[in-house]
Amino acid sequence: MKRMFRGWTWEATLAVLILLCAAWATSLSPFYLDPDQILYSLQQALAVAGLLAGGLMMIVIAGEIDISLPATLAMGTIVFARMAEAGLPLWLALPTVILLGVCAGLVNGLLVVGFGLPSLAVTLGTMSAYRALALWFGGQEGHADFPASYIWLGSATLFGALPLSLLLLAAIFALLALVLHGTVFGRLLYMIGANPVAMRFSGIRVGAVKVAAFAAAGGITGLAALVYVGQFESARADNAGEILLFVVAAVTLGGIDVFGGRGHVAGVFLALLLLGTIKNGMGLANLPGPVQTLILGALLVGSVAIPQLARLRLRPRRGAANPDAAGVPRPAVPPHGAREEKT
Amino acid sequence: MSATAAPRSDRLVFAMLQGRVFGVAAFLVLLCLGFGTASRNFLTVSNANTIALNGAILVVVACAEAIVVITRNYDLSVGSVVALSSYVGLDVVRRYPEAGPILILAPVLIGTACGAFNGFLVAVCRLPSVIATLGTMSIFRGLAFLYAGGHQIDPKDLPPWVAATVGGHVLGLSALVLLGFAIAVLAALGLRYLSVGREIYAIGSNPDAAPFYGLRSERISFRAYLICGTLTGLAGFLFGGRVSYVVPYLAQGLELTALAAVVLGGISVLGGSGSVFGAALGALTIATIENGLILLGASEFVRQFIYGAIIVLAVITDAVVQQRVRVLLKARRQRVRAA
Repeated sequence: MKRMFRGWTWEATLAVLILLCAAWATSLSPFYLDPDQILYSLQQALAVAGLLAGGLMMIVIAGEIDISLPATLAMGTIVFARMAEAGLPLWLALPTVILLGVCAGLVNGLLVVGFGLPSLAVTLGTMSAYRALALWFGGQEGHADFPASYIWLGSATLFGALPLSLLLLAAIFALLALVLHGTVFGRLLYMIGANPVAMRFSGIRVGAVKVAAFAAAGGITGLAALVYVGQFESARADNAGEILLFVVAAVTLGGIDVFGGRGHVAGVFLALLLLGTIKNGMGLANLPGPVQTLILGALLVGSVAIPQLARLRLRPRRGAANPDAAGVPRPAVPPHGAREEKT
Repeated sequence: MSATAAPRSDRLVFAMLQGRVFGVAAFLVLLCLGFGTASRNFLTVSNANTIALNGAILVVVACAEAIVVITRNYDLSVGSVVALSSYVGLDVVRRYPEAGPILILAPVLIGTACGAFNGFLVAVCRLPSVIATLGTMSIFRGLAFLYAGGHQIDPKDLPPWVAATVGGHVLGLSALVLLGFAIAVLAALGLRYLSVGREIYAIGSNPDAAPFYGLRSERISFRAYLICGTLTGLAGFLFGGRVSYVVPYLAQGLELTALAAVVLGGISVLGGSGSVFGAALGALTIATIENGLILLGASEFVRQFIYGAIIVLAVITDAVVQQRVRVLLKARRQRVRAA
């Protein structure tokens, strides 16, 4: 019983924080506690960013990072716009864009795995390359003409209030939870993130699993592009430039270890709800945009720095016979600057 | 060196590693010739001057970024540090005009403080540098906005020594260009001959082995961030002195340009190799590309695409060369052992 609780302390903390934030938002404005308002603002904040966070989560668990996802998203929205202009039906456009996202992820993954490169450097490069492709496909001006079928997923509501895109987000997270916690692929992702060298010696094709994670994240991003199009009815090459911080903050705040190998899907989902509530509250408090970004950045840094500092303080007391909460024995402190293991 | 002569391909790769700076220089010359034939206005004295002036600040930022990249870390916050140090620093300068040029220390110290914070997160808390500096990028930018509160600094309100420093001439050469050149040379010499510099390379080239030589990796990476912040703060001062209005959204996206310059100049993204001089040349090359594309009337997306392509290509080249070097070093060790 105690053991079961120990694994969920972070998630419980997040749940308490969500309630605290909701209370704070209620004290700011009497209009906060309106289900329509809450659902609408959550949809605005989370529908797209949440999907990206779901994709990024897989990559971070495997011990890598992908900062090109927002650029892939922008590319996807542009392709939707072009296809809408050409009069293509949605059932043709959606698979195309998802495939495009998968290809973008494959390129990232193959570059990272094939050349043994740090994923930041690779995705930093592909980030601007994908943005440039988006500009090339779509030109400098925005596109706003979408048929009803394209915007249905991102804008429709069930029972008059419940946004469909939030349901989609919940469904995708349920699927991710199933994949990450219940399939061989998911367990491999965790174990590769925890100790890639041991996995290689165990005969696991580490590279293939990592590439699959990148590709899956790209595919989810393609789906997110459709939600984006429906939500904002706009497609421009510089769309979603600011979303990366929110996405990374959600992943780290959700308790996914930035060095890979640890964290629950439920934690990321709760972190998304928390960030959505905070954003809603900051909006009600009339905080200007840059200050909101400042707070997000501080949350990101705090969410990674504080557990890490605690871990470093605990290091001397931590023996080999005392494996951590996830049950996977691993060095308490990853070697400084370790990014790619030496072969 | 071992007594046995290295095979030819062996020497070629080592020559490639050592000659990378010349490679960048050759690329720059080719680029100039290309732009020169494409546009009549490119190969003129006034245009060269423009490139040098625009490039000088980028050279300072690229040197700063290079020092961090050599330690196997990244700094995504340089653009925000430039914005924060130039706005807050120049605001201090504006408020105390009687203090004189000593106040150039204000932006520099603000940059140092930012660098110290980054260094604390990366070296002391041992966070991945990407995630830490992605966070501080928005923190520093947000602080600049908070401090500015919607205002901007008009250069007319600044004491005259600011314009004299940034726009001045020494022996007929622009002070800004001289400063950029001096910083690149000093940083290159310092990294090559000072023990601090050698330690920075040692940490980057093999972080696992460095502690066995008695090197304290936290301290050294912290120092690298500190130097980076200081130089970026100085760049913030120069940047602020050159623009028509100092605003908190200055230098957005500078981190990408600086990283492109650094990897183009042959600093390995895997750390531990490359020279700051190469990074400075890379910065000049980027400034040349930017200038040439503007003269040719190319659109924004071409530029962005070129930066992205440069980063990806340089990163792949690094990986291939390093893999080859690793194989060759192993072969050499075996030859030495056999001899």
